Amino acid sequence: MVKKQIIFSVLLALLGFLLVGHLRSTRETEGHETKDNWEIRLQLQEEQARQQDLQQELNDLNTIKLQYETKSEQEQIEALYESIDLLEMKAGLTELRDSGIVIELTPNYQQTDQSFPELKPELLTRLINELNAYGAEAISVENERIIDLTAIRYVKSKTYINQRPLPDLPLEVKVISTNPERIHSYMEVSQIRNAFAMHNISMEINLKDEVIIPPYQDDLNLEYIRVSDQQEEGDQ
Amino acid sequence: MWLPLLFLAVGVGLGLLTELSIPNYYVDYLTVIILVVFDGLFGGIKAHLKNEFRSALFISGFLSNLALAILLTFIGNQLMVDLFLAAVFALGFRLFKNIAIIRRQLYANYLNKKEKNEGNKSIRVE
Repeated sequence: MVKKQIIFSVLLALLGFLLVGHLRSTRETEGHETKDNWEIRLQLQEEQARQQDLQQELNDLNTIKLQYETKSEQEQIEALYESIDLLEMKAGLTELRDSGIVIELTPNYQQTDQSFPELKPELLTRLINELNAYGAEAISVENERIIDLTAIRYVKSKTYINQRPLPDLPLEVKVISTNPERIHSYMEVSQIRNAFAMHNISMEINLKDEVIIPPYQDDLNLEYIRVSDQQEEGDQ
Repeated sequence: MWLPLLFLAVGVGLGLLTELSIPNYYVDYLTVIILVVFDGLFGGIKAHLKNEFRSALFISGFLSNLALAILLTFIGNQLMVDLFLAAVFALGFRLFKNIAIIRRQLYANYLNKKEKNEGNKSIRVE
């Protein structure tokens, strides 16, 4: 009887010990702060900037709401139309005229043994990503407006934008930006020049006072768009 | 009755005091070991209630279970297959079975006791 009790006791002691160890080890792996002071401060700054942006947006929306509420019916309709115009501009459904840059992509014939160069979607995507990163407001490639829903695909050895094939080189990429000089100088020194050179495409970048970017021509297909509650890694 | 509880407290206390922490790699092993201990405990309680408890059998069973579970986990780790799940499944299944048996046995014991008591009363009344 005593032996039985001792066996059980030892087992229970072991169980308690192991359980505590288990809880401890799984808990320790969870929240382990490895950032140093500076990184945390930077993160805090980013979050504060984001908060400011959001506050700004909220204020704008509140003003619009106030407009809707306080004005007469006629004015309400006008305010609505204004909102629609603004949203259409944001979605890329209107023509834009502003200062910006024009990038001309021309075939480079210096290496004669090469076949006629073509613009691969990877390269075009990279160019567009870089432009967006350097503050492009609106982009069009050979009069095809690039919007959030634009797909760039490679079908039967042709590059398609907005379901339409791009013509052969030379091509013209137009970019509107609030700070054209900055984007111009960024693109001048960008690594992407080498990438284009590797594909035998030369790149010429010109500053223009007035760049005209055409609207997106098709209907927006929003059938499969859902509001996402999740915030994924990298969202800001 | 109090000795096991005291030892449980001692075990928990030791765990807290030694600040042991297991590297992530060994967490699978720990899980399996904890399950084996649980299984041993409930198996022991079952055997005790059925009056079939033999300490030699119990200890050897516990140790062999432990060895097999750890071996499975080790092989699984080497083969990159979660073999320890086999042990988890088998032990979990046995846990539930043992608990069901313990429950039935306790209920039977309770009924027996009641019957005895009532029998005593009736005798007294007569």
